[in-house]
Amino acid sequence: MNTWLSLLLKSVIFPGFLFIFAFALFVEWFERKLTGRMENRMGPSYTGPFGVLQPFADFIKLLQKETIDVRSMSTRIVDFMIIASLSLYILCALFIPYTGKSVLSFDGDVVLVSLLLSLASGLLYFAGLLSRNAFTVVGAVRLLLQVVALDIPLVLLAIVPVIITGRFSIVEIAHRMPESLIYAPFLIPFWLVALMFEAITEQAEIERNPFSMPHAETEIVAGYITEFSGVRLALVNLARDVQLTVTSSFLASIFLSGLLRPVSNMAMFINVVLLILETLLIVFVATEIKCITARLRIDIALDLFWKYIIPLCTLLVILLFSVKVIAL
Amino acid sequence: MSVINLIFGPQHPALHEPELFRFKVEGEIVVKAEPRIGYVHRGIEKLFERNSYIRGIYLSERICGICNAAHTVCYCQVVENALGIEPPPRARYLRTIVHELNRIHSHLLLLGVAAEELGFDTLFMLIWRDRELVMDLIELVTGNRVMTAFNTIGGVRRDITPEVAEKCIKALSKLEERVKYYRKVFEEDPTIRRRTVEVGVLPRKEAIKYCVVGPMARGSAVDVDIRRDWPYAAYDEIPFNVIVRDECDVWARLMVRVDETIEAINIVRYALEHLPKGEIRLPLRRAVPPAEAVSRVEAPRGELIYHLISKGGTIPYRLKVRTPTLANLLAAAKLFEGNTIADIPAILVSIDPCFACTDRVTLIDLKDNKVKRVSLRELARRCRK
Amino acid sequence: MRLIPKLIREVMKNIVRKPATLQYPKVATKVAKGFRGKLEWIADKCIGCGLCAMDCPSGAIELIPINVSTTEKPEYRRLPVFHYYRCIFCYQCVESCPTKAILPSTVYDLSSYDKENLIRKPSDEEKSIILKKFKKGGGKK
Repeated sequence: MNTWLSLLLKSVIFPGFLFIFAFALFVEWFERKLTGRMENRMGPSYTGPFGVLQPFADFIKLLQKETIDVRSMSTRIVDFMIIASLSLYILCALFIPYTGKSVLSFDGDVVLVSLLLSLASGLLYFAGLLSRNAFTVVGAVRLLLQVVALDIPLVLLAIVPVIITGRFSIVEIAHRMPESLIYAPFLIPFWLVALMFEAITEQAEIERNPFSMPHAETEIVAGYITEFSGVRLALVNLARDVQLTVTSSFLASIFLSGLLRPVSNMAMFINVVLLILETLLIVFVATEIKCITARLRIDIALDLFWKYIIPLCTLLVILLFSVKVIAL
Repeated sequence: MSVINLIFGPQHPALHEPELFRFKVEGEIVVKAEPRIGYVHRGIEKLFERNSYIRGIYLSERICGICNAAHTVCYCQVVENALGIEPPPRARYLRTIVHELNRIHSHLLLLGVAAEELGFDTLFMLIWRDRELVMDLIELVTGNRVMTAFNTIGGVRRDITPEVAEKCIKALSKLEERVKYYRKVFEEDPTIRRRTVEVGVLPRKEAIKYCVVGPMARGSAVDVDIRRDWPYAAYDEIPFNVIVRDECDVWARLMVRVDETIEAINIVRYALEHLPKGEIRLPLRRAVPPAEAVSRVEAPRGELIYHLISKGGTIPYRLKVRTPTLANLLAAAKLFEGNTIADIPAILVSIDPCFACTDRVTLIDLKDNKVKRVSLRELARRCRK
Repeated sequence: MRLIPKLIREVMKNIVRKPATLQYPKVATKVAKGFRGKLEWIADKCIGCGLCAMDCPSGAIELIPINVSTTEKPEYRRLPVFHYYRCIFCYQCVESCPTKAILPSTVYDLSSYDKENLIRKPSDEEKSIILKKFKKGGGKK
């Protein structure tokens, strides 16, 4: 009974919903402010100190707005898809070792989380498709094409830290990453190359430039989000923020844990702060890439994935595996 | 694959003015594009017939806010032609300066918008930030950032003092540096090139067939420029290059504009340095004798034509305006076909559409290509159909 | 063609650069010396000829018979009334005025909640100036 209660508490409050909600909104603010600064603008500046409450204000504002049910929209399924997608992202958050330990953990959860992240995007595809508007359909199809293309490199790249550390669960990878790299410095180049590919793949995963085609505003208005309004839009926006946060945290914990956490056993509080900093670092890189590129066309992007990134990632994993085997 | 009707407009993020495009798309490929113009019809040509020549100056300015200097130059020239007068040399130089400043501002605006349409928000913001330099100059020279109200019948309304000229030259060299940087960005940036090179190709033959004008023609290797071919203002005395590119794609059209901006900076600089002394305007004449006159101007978007018929008095009998976008739009509609949805904004922006200019009065029956005159009632009836 | 985006340096510099935004209500915008702003009218010089109203492209200046009398007996003079909400700031009136009674200014913050604030009618003081100036004559209505 007690374990169930603690699991419930954890999934609702600390690394679960409430924490992720606050953190996601903070990450949105961070991204918006940073984008603003990179474009030599102000970014949000009035709500709260440095405008940090702006995403929250936007969220509340959207909750107040009227939710319009478009006649062609299959309302119930769309709502279900949005909530399911949001829940899946939060479920992923439970696997991430914010405190040094994660709520849920088992061997092989690295692959599961990579797949769940794609699945959650896939649910948004259904939400867009079922809105049945020309713009949402085009946007949803683009989203699906993109998710299918980036799923393979995402899993392949998630295998890289697994091979480096020789462990299968996120928590253990996060703990073992620093020493693995220190004891086997010849793996560092692989790690760096994997990071580079990861940066590109994440860009597609979180639908930022140059892979923002699913909601390219000058082409298809807001893509699969076009028909959403009010509460539905608030939830989709939240889901997208959570997606950004969880994806970045996930990558931070499996790739970057060596960077800021030389010691594996640290106090819980410091661990939380460090993981947040690492997440923000990844968001920073993502924002930087977003700001220096134009949106690609979907065919160019798919070309890039199928012709270059997927073969190269496969090659990387094979090479890394052989190096590791030989070294052992 | 089934065909989806994708309707752009009258409200759409890619369009900054209300206009409607109906695209039939198969997957991502556009199979058919139909523009439907007329959403911003304001009856301006009729208004000209009810307002005096002096009021007309400001009315012509409002046909298009962005290229307003070109419109006033053209309007004033057509009235001057009807009057048979010629503005003094200093006025002609000042006209050229403001006209070219206006071109710089218009081209930079378009380049920023182009970046935005390609999803490149940073470049958009940065270009528009540096465009402020020329906006400030326009404000300094004419008294307003956008609406210049600088030209008048028989000359210009304000003089440039030596201090202002000095400030202009200083700011222009700063601007030139920035524009040259953006030229490099457009030339080298991989994502921009992937989106624009070999997209929306308008071969030279097609360009001539559709009578496209301005940067769109020059991007398709058609060497036309009213400033050189039929010089007005001080263009016969100022040396400048006509930029022509032969790539014929969206990228070439954007590059023509970037290079023209640099060329315009040189023109302004030359004109400021060689400003002749003397009067800036002739005494005001309110009435125009019966006459018919035509004037052509190279507006930032292409050739602009005003045709004036006067039957005497202080009010024009008829003033016909042909704006560049109307000439370019039909060719653009063809360009969409065969390209993808993602290319729609890129192609659209490469013609630099100004729909507010375009929508005046033309009613063309597309079925038998006849221009018809219809009564208002019939028009309303047709709209309902 | 290079593979590295061109803007990367500029964007990195921008992070530490001050934003180009001018926070308008907090910081006043600087306008150029010759900026065409709100028009001012000088009653002393006005002769009520109506050229300004004739040339105004947007009908922002109207010549309206106004009672300038301070006594019971009404006396009407045709005086210009400025509707700033219609004004397009072309300054044709400044140019057309034969006595230079319309003065330019660089005032640009004209927005108001009340349309009445954007109409400039002759004040009582100006009315008395007009009354003094044209003691006799002036159209009765």
